[in-house]
Amino acid sequence: MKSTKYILLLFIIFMLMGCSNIRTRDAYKEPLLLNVQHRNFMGAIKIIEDAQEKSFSEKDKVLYHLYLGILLHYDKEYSASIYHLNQAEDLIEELYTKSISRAASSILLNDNTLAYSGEDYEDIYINIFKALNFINMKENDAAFVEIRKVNIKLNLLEDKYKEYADKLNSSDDTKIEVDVKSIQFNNSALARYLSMLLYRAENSMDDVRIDKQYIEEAFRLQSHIYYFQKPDLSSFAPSKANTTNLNLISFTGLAPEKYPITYRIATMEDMIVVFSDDGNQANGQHFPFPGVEPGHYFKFAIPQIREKMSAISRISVEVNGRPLGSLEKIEDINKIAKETFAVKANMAYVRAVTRTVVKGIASIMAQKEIEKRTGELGGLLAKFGTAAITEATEAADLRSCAIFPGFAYVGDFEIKPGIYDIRVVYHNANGMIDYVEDLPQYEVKENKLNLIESYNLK
Amino acid sequence: MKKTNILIILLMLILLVGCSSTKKVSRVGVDETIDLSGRWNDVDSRLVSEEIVKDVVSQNWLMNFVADTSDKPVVTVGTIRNLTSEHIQTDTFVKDIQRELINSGKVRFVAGKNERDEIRQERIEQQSYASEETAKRLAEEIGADFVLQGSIKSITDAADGKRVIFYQVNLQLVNTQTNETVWIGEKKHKKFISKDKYKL
Repeated sequence: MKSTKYILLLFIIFMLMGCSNIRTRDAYKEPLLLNVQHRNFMGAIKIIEDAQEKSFSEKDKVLYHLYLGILLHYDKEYSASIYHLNQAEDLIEELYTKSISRAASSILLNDNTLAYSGEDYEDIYINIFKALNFINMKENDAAFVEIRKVNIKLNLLEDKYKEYADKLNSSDDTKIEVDVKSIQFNNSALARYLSMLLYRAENSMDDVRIDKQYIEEAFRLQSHIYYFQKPDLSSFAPSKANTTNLNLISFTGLAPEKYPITYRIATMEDMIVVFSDDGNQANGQHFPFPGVEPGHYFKFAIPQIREKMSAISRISVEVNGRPLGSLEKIEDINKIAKETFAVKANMAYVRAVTRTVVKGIASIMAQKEIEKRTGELGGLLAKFGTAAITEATEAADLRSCAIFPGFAYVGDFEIKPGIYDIRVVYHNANGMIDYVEDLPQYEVKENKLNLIESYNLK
Repeated sequence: MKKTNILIILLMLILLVGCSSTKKVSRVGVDETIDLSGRWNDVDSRLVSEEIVKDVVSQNWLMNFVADTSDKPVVTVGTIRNLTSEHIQTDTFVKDIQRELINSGKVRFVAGKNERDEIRQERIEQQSYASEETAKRLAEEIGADFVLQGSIKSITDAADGKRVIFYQVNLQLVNTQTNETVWIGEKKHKKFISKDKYKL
């Protein structure tokens, strides 16, 4: 093949993917997070809507609907939230099926050029938030549907990527085998807790008992995720005469963020060595790579998850100016995100290594051809050009919905039916009050689910 | 690196980037079976209601009632709860059951709770606003002898882009006078959903 054809080919590939397609476009993120943390949800919705054209192309539709679905929930627009979360959920399912069938053929494509199919924790919390929407709309049967969906998704999670990995491994382009580890998360205490509340509201105490057992199991068998004290569930019995239950669920912090880890590849005879810039696990990992010549260096980046801490360390509740109790942590969404992302990160790593080496070698061949035809200067220019293209097209895919909460807290309080002024007080690590949410004249009804949702996403 | 590999990359990119589709709309008959998502749809609702009503009107409780009263039983449909993992419009299912029951000609049928409330409101308003000759009298409704109630449950299994959903519809017919359950029906319904259409 002529050198000009190589250059043309690389140029076409680069153009086809488009500069904007190979990097995550998230200029909206900083102002968005500021608005969310200051509870200006309307402002945050406007940011996403305004950014639709610039930052959310066809391949980012899942992200767009996720953002709007979650923001509309925070803004108490439950029906609109359900619409967007449904859109996101349907697209995630469709894209996952597509990704399985395209696993082998898309190994050489940068993840940023592919449609974002959501992270597993996002897919799970879509249903949690839809359940909360339905509870707020007093449609408890529909809320149950969403909780069941969470449980089904979690049951399938363990084996979800096995076929994807098999197809990846069977691809002609694959030089490194993907080793898929099981996801050790199949039982969400928060989903079970919501289910328990719904069952108690309809006095199905046997089902309450079963959910209670599931929560206990979640803490016992998944201690790497539920590393904290289990909430006290001893009050989960039918309400005593003349009393009912007031329930609170509070979300704090923000979901984890993705950041790029940069790796470098050095080629040897039929072999490559991968080093990470930050001394990470892949430091000095050797992989056989038949046909590779020694002496070349390439660079690529893949996403990793970074947990975010919350400024809030305690949440207390007051009723008519008197302390009622504190909320207890039930879910660390950051931990769940990290656990469920690990398998995907491993596959992204293998794909990126293969892709970088294949692209790097193609560009070296092109550069050599140019040098042969145009002399040393032409070769030098081509070297810089092709190296720039190779590196530019290997940016990490950092897409994620940054406004999911980081932690969930719950509280169950026995109280007489009536109208109360309720106050949710958020304390920081120094014990200082960070934020107070007032819910004046809240009616606590008998034999009903009285669930208050509160947020402080700091 | 083979040169052909580069061409393959290019080809794949063109395929993936350039796969645009045009929307096409066509009219279809309402009886035509079209399964898109694999979720519970009008066809499932119709098939299950036909089967279940066939069963309910062929059992002993009906013969016994007719023998005792020399009249057709009056039935209404109560709550059918959706206990599945998908949002099923149980209203549509209830309507299908109502239609099948009425069309069977073996039972008489009275409006369900929501419809009754609306008709009662209309009758109350007639007392004030309709002429004396045309206003319908209060307290002359036909009381239902039996209420049909139940639930739809589902079990989902999925792997490799394929899914099997097993639905179980449990219905029971309860005597409104005695609370006696005179019939229990169960209809199992299984769907296999494969999404091969997404393959390139």
